[in-house]
Amino acid sequence: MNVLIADDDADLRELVSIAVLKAGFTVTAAVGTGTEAWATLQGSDIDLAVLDISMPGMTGLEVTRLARAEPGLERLVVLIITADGSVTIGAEAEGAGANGLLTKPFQVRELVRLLREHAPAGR
Amino acid sequence: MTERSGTEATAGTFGSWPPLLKHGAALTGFALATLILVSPMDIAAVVWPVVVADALVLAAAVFAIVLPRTALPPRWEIVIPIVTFVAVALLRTATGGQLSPFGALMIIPVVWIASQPGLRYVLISFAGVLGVVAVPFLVGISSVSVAADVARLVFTPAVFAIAAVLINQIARVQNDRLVRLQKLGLERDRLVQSLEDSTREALRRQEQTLEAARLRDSVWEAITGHAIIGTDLDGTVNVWNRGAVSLLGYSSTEAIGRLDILDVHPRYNEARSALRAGTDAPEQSDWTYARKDGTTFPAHVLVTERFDEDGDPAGFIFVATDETEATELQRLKDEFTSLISHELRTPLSSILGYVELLRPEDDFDDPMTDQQLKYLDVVDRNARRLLQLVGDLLFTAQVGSGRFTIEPVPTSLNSLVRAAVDTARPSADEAHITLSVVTPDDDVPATVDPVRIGQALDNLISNAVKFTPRGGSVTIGLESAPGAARLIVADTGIGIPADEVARLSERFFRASTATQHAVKGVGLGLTITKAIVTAHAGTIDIDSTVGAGTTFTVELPL
Repeated sequence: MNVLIADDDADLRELVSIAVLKAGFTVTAAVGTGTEAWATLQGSDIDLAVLDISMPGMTGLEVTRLARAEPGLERLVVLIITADGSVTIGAEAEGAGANGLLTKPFQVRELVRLLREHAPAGR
Repeated sequence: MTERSGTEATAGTFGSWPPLLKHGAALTGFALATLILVSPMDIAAVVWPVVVADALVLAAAVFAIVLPRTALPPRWEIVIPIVTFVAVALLRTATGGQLSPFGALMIIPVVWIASQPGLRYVLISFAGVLGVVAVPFLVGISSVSVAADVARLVFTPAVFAIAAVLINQIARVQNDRLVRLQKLGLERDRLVQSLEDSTREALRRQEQTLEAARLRDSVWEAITGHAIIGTDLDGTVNVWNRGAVSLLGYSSTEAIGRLDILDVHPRYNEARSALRAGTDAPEQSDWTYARKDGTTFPAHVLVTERFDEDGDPAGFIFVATDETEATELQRLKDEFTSLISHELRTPLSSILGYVELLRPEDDFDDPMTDQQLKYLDVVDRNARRLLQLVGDLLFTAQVGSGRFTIEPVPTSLNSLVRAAVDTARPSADEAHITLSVVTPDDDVPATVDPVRIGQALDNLISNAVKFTPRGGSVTIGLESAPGAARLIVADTGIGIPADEVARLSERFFRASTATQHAVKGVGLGLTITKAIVTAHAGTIDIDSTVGAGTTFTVELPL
């Protein structure tokens, strides 16, 4: 189970990595920009991406949209993490094609639960 | 009085001539008679009566000059013709009595006296003539025969009396006519006066109207920040102010009669038909307006239906304000808000996340000391407080920018109250404050935003707990009222001074009792609560006594 983590905040990247490890998955890549995230995803064997929305280069939502249109990434699971507390953000994330949404600040155990819940079967 | 007005009324007739002018006839007559007497015609005459007669006539002339300058009433002028009668009598007697060639002078005083209004002047004339005719007879001067003299004595006064009556009547008729004419004249003067008055009034009104028009024009010209556009019912522009010229780029001549409102206000059709349905309140909305050069700008538009004098719809008035700057400002505010949101929440996420990781779990086998756990609690609690503050700040920023919206759904207020009390229970227990709940057995349903109303209740209850000393109590009530539901949070706390109650919902305002008792907080809780209640069209009532407690009553319409 290969996981990509993208967040411009290094400490949060680390926190998410810990959660991924706790969930029993592998952190394949941890990047700080949307551009790097998209470059990593293309042609990779990533199963799940945890993307922050607000990142330099591209937003997590843009990366999600690109991934949804990319052949070969149909089975990618996308979890969005955001500091945006607005009411409409859930609908926006869903519209972009995300599988789940977590609002900052989040509990580590909540993220672990979400990761396990959305893990693609059979891997 | 009647006589006076009669005298006044005869102004312009013989009666109103100055006495000297009237006397002119007698003066001329006597001068002529005197000239004849001194001429070589050799008419027999006794000199002294003639001199006296002339003196009398001259004296009468002096009286005629003096009379208007004295305080004597004008009717005294009758003395002059009477004196003239005496003079005629003297002259006639002195020049041969009945045979005198100067008897005709009698006509002069007769005319004067008889022309006075009133038949008694006819009698005076008659008496005068009788006197003049009788004098020679009395002094023994006779003529041809006694019978002829007697006949003359009767006949002459009679004829003169008839003449006097005629003169009197002619004078009266003329006088009446004059009075009528004068009345007509007065009437005409009044008409002319009122015509002049109304002309002046009309001019004054016109001046006022012009003044008002000038004022209106200057006000109209001064409106450059708003585009004011008028249209007829079909949407053809018929009013285009300077603001419209500068905001939209079309000149008045290009716009009036040629432009359709849809050229500058795209897609107005639907709104127009809605307006036609007959709402008299102006419709306010934000639109994108199109300029002549094709560029657009955000506009706040107020549309009002315009009516003609008969009250029938005549068209519409559009008042548009350029919102470019306001929109830009709003965008900056939003940007700032989301920056704060992101920049503060991200480090807080790390703090809370790592604190969570530090806490011992089943699969962590290096438990911390109790001391360390206590410190960790402090970090956790403070991070959460900071997070709450960030949330509150964001919320008030949203309320301030008018972008705070609620999502009402059918909700059971009873369960909202129960949830809020459960949330407050731990802190109340810790502060040794009794929490009691009074709710009706029946469900009180309402269509509210459950998250927001829950937040408002949390705020009110946590406030009540915060401001109530150890051992006090907080009662949370729910009541059903006609058309409304009431949420009541009453405490036995420190209270709020009366003059501060009204300021409670101001942002960052804190009651003096709160600061004195060192109760923590920044003063946003009630601002938020008020905003939530207001968004639900509800009201908050605060009843407080310092030292006794405070009761907040929230009324929500159902």
